[in-house]
Amino acid sequence: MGCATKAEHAASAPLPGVGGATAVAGGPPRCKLVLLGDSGVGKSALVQRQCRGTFNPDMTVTVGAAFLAHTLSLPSGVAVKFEIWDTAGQERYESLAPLYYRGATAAAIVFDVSSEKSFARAQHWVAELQRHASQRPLMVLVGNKTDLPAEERAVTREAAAELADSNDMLYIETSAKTGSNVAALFELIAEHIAAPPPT
Amino acid sequence: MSSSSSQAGEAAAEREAHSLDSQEGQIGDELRDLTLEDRQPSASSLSEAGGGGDGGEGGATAAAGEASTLFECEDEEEAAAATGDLPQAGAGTPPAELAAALRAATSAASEAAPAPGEAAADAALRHQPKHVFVFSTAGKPIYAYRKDEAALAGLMATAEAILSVAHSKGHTLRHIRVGSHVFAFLERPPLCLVGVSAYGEPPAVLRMQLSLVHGQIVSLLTSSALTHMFERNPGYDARRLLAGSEGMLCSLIDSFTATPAALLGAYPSLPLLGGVRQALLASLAAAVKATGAVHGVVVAGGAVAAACPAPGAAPLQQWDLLLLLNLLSSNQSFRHSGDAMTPVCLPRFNPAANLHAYIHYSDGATQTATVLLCGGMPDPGALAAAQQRMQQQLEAIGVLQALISSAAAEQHMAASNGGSGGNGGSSSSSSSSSSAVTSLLAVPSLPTAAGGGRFGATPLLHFVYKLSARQQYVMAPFSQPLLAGGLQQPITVAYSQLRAAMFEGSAGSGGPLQRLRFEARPRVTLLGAVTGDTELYLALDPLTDKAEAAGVAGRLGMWLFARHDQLFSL
Repeated sequence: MGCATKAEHAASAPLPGVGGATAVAGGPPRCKLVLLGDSGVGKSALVQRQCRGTFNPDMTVTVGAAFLAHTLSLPSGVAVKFEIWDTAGQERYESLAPLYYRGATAAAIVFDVSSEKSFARAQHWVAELQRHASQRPLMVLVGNKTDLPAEERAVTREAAAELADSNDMLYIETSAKTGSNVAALFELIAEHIAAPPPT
Repeated sequence: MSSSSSQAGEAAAEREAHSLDSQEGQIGDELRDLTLEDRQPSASSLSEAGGGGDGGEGGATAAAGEASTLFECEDEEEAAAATGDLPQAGAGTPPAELAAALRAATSAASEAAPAPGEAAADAALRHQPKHVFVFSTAGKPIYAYRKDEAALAGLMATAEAILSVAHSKGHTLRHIRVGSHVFAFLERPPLCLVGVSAYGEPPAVLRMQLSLVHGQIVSLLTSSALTHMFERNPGYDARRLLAGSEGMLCSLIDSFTATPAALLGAYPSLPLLGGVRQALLASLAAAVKATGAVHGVVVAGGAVAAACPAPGAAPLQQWDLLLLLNLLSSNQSFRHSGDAMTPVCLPRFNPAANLHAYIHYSDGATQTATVLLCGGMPDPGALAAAQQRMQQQLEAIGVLQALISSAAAEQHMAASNGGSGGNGGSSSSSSSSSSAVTSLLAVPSLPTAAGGGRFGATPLLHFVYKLSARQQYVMAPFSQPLLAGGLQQPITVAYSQLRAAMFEGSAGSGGPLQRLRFEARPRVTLLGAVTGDTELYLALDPLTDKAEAAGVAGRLGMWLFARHDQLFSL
């Protein structure tokens, strides 16, 4: 736990399609954030933790997509207005996903560090978003459920970081249950949105 | 056509080929048929059936089975018209050849399925009074109610074999009776649905339930996606696509024996006092217009408070509203998120396409929510803004508060609906039921003249009232004594038998139809009274005699008739 964000490498990496897209003159920067990933990896739990500060172990399956507005103030004084699309992970919603990620400023692709299958699904989502390279959003790979004991871990940090590196993504590990790094995830995204790195 | 092949796979393939060309374009036909809008009062408008014929629920089922064939014909009227020359096989008069075929199929199935499977099927039938399973026309299991498919493999194989034999003879199988169990079949290529029940629902009602289950599956996947999927690959495993929605189908099937919605073919309406509904409708219409939505619905306490189509559009049919209500009540996730958007297909509205439902809960405890249905990808910002405007308006004039307190009053009704079937999906609502507010229609709060009074002081136990023209119903909440006595499910099933018996003659439009029917049963006395545009069904104390029951029905009917504007969306 308490893993440092692997933002350093990405800060220097170019992030096409992000810069300027949201810097609306006058108002606070807006960010359409879409969460993608396999069913049961904790997408809704991350959103609930961030927006409500709660964690419900008996979370029910998301149907379709939930939409939440959330404003995050950065230490720099900039407030970023998030429009969060928390999508359902089941396969039958996959064909509808483009409706949700189209025009997104940022995409968080979430997997469960204890599930190989969810990591494979994450790779699928990465490939899917890469295909639309022209409007590629800021992509963050999120390994959730770091609260689980080490022996249950099925996806190594190295493997995940490598996937992130090779796709110009940020990588962060979180636990919606303990709240570890959840705020860091949203701040990481907000920082990149508020002040896109020079290309 | 090879006769009764012993290999189930071969038979299934044959059946598939047959069903594809003969059964096209019948999606959900009979849903409409059972609404019985063309009711013609007959000359013998007041005929009463004595208690003798329906002494016990067990004994009554056999007689009801014979009688229900007429009801069935009505149910299949349109299908028969569409398929014309196709002979129809009902339970009442199975042709000799079909009976032989059934025997052959059963033996074929028992050869094909190993003995342990057979034993498991027997056990499955014994331990659970109700089963629903869905498989593809190619024989792939898709869904089983409250059981994994493995436990039902023997039963499913038998059902598939029976169906395929009926097909090979050119028949359409609707239901069969095995001891106290009724097997109902519904074929909606590429899906086959089978319902098995020992509760004693009339076969036509079981098929109606299957039709709603089919509708719910279509609402998740759309019929065009289903068809394409199985055209591309007949062996496709559709379970993956339904993953996560078992709870939704389960809660729908639970509701069949807990609420009269499916048997009446009507959706529940929330009783609202005074101008509350008008104000609600006006502001909902404004929101629909502002967002370009195709429909707006306000639901509360598990019932519809207001429904408003886009200007010039037809109102949503009751079947679609029932599926929408089930979508909301069986998915907790909507209540916890701020705004939710979900694709949903409403089969009667358009079976081929998804709508996007924008869902916002104003009050989680009473399940008060606004739903705006949009075609195309809507702008969530605009929808949220319109919803907010609507909510502010309603709050300013006190309508939202009135709506929530009305919903709270009906709450124990909704809570009991969810709870009776042991449904894990919705049980969080019961905590907030405040005893201070009581439902408008609770028997103890009805005026004495209308049959109201405390439990024991009035013969009236429960009632259901349907306004046929609007396809809406209201009912008394199931009171604690009824729930404690485990009477909710038997009463609901008894209503379905009573109604089936009353409508059995209406098949040929103009046939005999009972307007008033009295049944004395061991645990409850039933009375049904049907007029041109209303249906009233009463459950009364078992000792109530005919005259007293008719008196209560008359007075209660008048009281309800005078309050249509409060009870229903007109």
